[in-house]
Amino acid sequence: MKALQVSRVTKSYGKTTVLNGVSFEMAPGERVALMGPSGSGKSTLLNCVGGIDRPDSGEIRVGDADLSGLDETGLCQLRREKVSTIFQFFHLLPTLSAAENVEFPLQLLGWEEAKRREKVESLIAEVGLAKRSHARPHELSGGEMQRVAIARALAIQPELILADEPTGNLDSATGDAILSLLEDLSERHGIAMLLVTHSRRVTEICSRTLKMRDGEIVESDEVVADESR
Amino acid sequence: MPTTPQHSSSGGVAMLLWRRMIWRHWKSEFRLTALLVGVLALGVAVFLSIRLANKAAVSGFTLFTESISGESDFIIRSPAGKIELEDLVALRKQLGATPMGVFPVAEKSGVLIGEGENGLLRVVGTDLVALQNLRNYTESLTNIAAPADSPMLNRSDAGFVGQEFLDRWGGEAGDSFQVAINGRSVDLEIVGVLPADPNRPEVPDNLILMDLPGLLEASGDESLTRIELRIPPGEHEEKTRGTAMSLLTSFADERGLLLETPEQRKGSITTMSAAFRLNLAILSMLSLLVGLYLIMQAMEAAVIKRRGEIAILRSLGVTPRQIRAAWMVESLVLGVVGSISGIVLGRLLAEGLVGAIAQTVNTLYYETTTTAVSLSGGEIAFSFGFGVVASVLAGVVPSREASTTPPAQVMKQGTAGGGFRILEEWGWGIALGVIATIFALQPAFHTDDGVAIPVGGYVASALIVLAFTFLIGVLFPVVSKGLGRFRKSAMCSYAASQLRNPGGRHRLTAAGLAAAIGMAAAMGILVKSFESTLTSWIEQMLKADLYVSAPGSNSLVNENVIPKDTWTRIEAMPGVDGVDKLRRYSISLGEREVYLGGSDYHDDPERYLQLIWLQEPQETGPNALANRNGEVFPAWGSEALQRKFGLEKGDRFAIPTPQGERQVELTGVYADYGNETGTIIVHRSFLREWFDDDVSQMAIYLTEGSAPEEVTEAIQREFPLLNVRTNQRLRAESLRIFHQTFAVTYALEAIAVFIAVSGLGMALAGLLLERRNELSTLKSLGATRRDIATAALWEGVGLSLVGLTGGFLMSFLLGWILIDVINPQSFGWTLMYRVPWVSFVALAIITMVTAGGVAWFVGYRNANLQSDRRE
Amino acid sequence: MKTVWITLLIAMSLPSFAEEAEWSYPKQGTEFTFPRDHGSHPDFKIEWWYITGHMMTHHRRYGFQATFFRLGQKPGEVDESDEFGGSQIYMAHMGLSDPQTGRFLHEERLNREGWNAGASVEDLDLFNGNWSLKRKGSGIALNGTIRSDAGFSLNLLPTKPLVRFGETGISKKGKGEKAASYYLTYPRMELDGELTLNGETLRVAGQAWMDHEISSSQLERGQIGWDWTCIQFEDGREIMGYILRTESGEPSPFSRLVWIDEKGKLTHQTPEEYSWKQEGGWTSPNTGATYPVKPVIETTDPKSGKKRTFQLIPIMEAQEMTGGAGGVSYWEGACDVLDLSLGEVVGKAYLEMTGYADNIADKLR
Repeated sequence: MKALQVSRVTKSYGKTTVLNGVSFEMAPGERVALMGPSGSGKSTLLNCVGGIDRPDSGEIRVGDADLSGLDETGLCQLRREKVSTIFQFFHLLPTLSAAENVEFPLQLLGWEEAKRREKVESLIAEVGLAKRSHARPHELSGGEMQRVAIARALAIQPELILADEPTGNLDSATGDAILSLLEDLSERHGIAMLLVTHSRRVTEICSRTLKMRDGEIVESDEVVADESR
Repeated sequence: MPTTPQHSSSGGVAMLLWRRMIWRHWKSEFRLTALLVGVLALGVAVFLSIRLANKAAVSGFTLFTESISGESDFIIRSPAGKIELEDLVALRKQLGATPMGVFPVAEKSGVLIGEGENGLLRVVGTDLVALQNLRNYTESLTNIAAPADSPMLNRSDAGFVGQEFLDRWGGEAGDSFQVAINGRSVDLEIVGVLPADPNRPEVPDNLILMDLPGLLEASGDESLTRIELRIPPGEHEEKTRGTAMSLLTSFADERGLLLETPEQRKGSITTMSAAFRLNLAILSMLSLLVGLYLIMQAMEAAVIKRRGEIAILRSLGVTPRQIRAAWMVESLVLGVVGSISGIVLGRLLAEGLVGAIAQTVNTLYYETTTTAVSLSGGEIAFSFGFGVVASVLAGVVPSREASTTPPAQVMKQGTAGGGFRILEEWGWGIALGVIATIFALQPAFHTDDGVAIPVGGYVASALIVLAFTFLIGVLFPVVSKGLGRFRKSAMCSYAASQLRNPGGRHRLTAAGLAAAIGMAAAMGILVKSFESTLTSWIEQMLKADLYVSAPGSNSLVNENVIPKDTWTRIEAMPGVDGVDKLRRYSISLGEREVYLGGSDYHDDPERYLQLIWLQEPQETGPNALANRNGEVFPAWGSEALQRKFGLEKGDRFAIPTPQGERQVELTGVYADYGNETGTIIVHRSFLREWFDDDVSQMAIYLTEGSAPEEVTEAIQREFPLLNVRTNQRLRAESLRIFHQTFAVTYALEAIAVFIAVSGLGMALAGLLLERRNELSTLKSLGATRRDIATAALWEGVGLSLVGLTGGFLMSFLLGWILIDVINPQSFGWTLMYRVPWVSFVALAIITMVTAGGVAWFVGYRNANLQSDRRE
Repeated sequence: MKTVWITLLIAMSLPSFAEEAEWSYPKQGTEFTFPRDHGSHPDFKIEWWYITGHMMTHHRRYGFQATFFRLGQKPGEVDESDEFGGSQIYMAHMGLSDPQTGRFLHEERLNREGWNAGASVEDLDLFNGNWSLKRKGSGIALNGTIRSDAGFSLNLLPTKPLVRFGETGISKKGKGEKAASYYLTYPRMELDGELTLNGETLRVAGQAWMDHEISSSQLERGQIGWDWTCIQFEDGREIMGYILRTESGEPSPFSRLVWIDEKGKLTHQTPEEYSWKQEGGWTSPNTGATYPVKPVIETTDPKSGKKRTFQLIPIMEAQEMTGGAGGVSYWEGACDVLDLSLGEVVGKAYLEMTGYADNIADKLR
């Protein structure tokens, strides 16, 4: 079973066509980079895969779930159980501590307190933030915040993690560290990752790079020069 | 991108910012802005309407019935209530050749036969021939319609009424009405209609004007109520005034009469209700204060939301001062729009309130006619100013917040909340609380008119409200924890986390809610305490089976009596075992009106007037007051009397009677919640000597086995004009009047709660709006719309819980101030402290449900909003 | 404001005088006793005491008028103990003419019998509010004020005996038996006293004239008013003259002009024997009526037998009593008497003209 299957997905906003028959697949545990200039449709594609947006036509399957057959509630369930997102601006809940942020998706799933605590502890340790678990987001550095976000994304043991410019807001050293972490976790837990990025560095942890332009994919296995530089 | 400002002046840039930024925000958040304006308008409206209604409700009092001759220069009255005709004749002689308009007036109480309490009348008699000489005193002349045919002079069966009377009772000039004047039945022909004058108050709809000798004959009472005097206008008016003053003063002194100016008279009478009306005015100001909180937090919300933009502006070189100016313009414009709307709304509200306030004044104090509510330029200016100042004040802190936004900070923190950091200084709260206590312990301030104003109490109340604003933060962690324990769901925990470390906005919202709840609940405590005290007082006082009174004796100015003939017959009726006869007169003591009353005590020791003592006399039995000490008569005084005149047990003072002054000694002080006027009680045998043998009220004890309803019917049948009530009915009626009296208070409570809850709703909406980014985070985590709404609901419930707890705590303190400080100082009543628990619980539930409901609704609606995120 | 319905009240309270109650009427041969007959006669319907005069200080002169009217409602005794009588209504007018400033001050009042007005039936003792007229010894004390603008306190001393007008002892005003009055007059009195005006109090001296008329009906149908004068000549004689004006325009035959000689002897003249020409119109800005304020009177001087022509020249033209209580407007003013043949002033007079603004007849029938 594939982690992700996207077939001939089309999406228009008004007269503008943003996605024009996009198709690709991802194997479980595979890391794929998605690159392209601004306006090429990367974020839209990511939103469609995450169930935030609906394509006009085409099919998207995450694992065995066909997104077109899901209603609003079903899509929410998808996000709760199967698909996590990591953002460029971290998007942690500011009033919760690091640990609580990680815990939150588990609460949504209705896990028991004890189980939750156990899981959170191990995840926090895994991302190397055991000493900062009680800090609130505004007390954390960019890199630390992203680690929390990653831990949170892992909490539900997703089939697929979507990452929207995960290192876009970090300096290169921190960014590298985050990427290493992602690679490591993806290997260890067998989670597929789709990373939208401008950065060549990201492509280095991926097995494949998809290049998009004007809503279409120009597939390429090699790491290509980033035209936006 | 905004263009570079051409003027470097703060004003110019402020206008630019206003046009491009603020106005656009308002347009896009039209509903919120409208609600904000609405709340300010409501605050101003309540404030203004109470002021206007207060004025209109009492201004009519002196104008028509009190001064027949228009603006008299002097009024002569008797401290014991009656002026003899020979005094009038002597006055004319004493004035000699001094030019002076003299207008004698007699006022008697009457009632429309068959209408019961609804048909109470004021029958006024004056010398209708002499009255026409007023043309020599005033210029105003208007045309009137042709009169009727029959002459009016000396007729005891003819009178004039205003059109208002005919509108109310039907009929026209020429018709006759069955009227009882001082208990005597008269078939009164309405000979003509008094024309209305647009410059004067309406003719009251219960007024009948008769020729003076006719009224004296009809009422069987040859005494006058007062003599009005006018100095004719002219070049040596002042000289005439001087001559007149000395003549009149010596005349009044010789004859034991009082010489007053209308201002003094009006002052001394409206003084009576001054305390009540002042309390109302203060309450109305507090409602404006509560509105202020809401405005503050709405402006604060706007600052936070627009921080990003402000940061950009700052990075373009707009100075902090220019930012501040723009925000002050915003609060100014809000203030202007809100105040204007408030004035319009307040004017309308006043119409409704006038009736309620006049009703209360009528019931508690004296009969007043209302003038039309008039919105003078002064009132408009005052209320407008008040509203604008409140709004501008509310904008001061938020505008400072806005202006201190540094460009860089925003980029780093996102739209983190800030503002009102000072509210975290709970030390201020303690300090304010201490100061409040000091103020509360101060004695009242006495004006020249002798009105006692509990300034300390008012200040303490305001300070307590402020204090809680600072202290309320303490409750947040507690509620947050409780919420977290109460429900373990993700959304509830998330909501609890919002409350755990509350920002300035949360604090302010909770403070505003607490202020409104605190005020409303405090008023609830006052009313409940009053009700409980009154109920147990009634319990103790009303022990007889039946109560008989002349019509109108509920209203305190009424002078209808039960003539001797009548009460002797009632005493002899079957079923009647014993009768206490009570009589009450209105006299002047110093410059105030008080009551002088007395009762015949039935010899049965079980059945005499049982009073609640505050300073108990040595003897309280029925004949305790009968033992005179030479020329000094023992007397009991009510608490109000004691406070107003600063008397203590053992004090002696003189009271005026038609027979001259008499010395009384205060031997005891009792509680009296029936009225706010002081009362002096002496033995009725003395009253009979000094005044007359009529009776105001009878308390009837029935023989064993008699049925109260039967005896009531029998008495009523024989004396249809009298009010006969069983004990039960009297209690019920007393409570009914009580509730009527507090009608305005109830209205204010409701308004306070409404303002509070709408504020809460607004705040929640704002809070959620500013958290849109978090919302999309939640969504990306798989939270459904309902989840988000649920989180909002819990936050709303939690917030309202903080506000409610703070508010109720506040209300206990405010209630204490109201009951133990303000009330005794203003009115002279000692009340029991009672809390309306049931109402409180209901209020809490309503507030939480509403808060939760609004929060849910807002959360649900906003769940679909796109975040501000960009690519 | 109250004046509004005050007027209403008065119009309502005063019944029209058309009732024929049992009023007495003047009869020939009635003897008077004094001082009682200086007082009030409540069995008659209409009575007035009317004083006019001229006050002088060093350089200034004033004219004044004080009238006390009694209007009976019910004939008969007056109960003096009743503070609010209904049987008599007392009207009073005060007027003061100040030719130095051209100001005419006046006040009208209405009061009922009782605490605020009264007239003794035993002597001359009247009061209306603070105004009073009272016999004091051989003189009469008059106290009047006009609001807070003016006041006078005068002693009037008759220097000639009382005269009684009418050839038959009653002054007939019309054909009917009842159309007559008892008309008693002090044709010359000295006055002295105080006048308060313009903030100062002046000692004044001068001369006055006092009428006392008693009747139950003054005018007949067809009579619309009268022009009347009292003239006091410098030679110590007086004239009382009037024309009763009728609807037809001709003076009533009951008009009279009476000469009073130095000793008080009367010479009555009928309208054939004197003429009254209306001259000099002054239009009132208040009522719009035009009064002939400078009449020319031609009469035969009984002393000399010669015809004399006099013209009355008012000391100021605006001397109209406007409406007020009772609602009657009339002109009442101080005049100088100009002898047209001699071309000099030979005396002082008061001129009264009624019925030009309202129909006074309805009020006084």
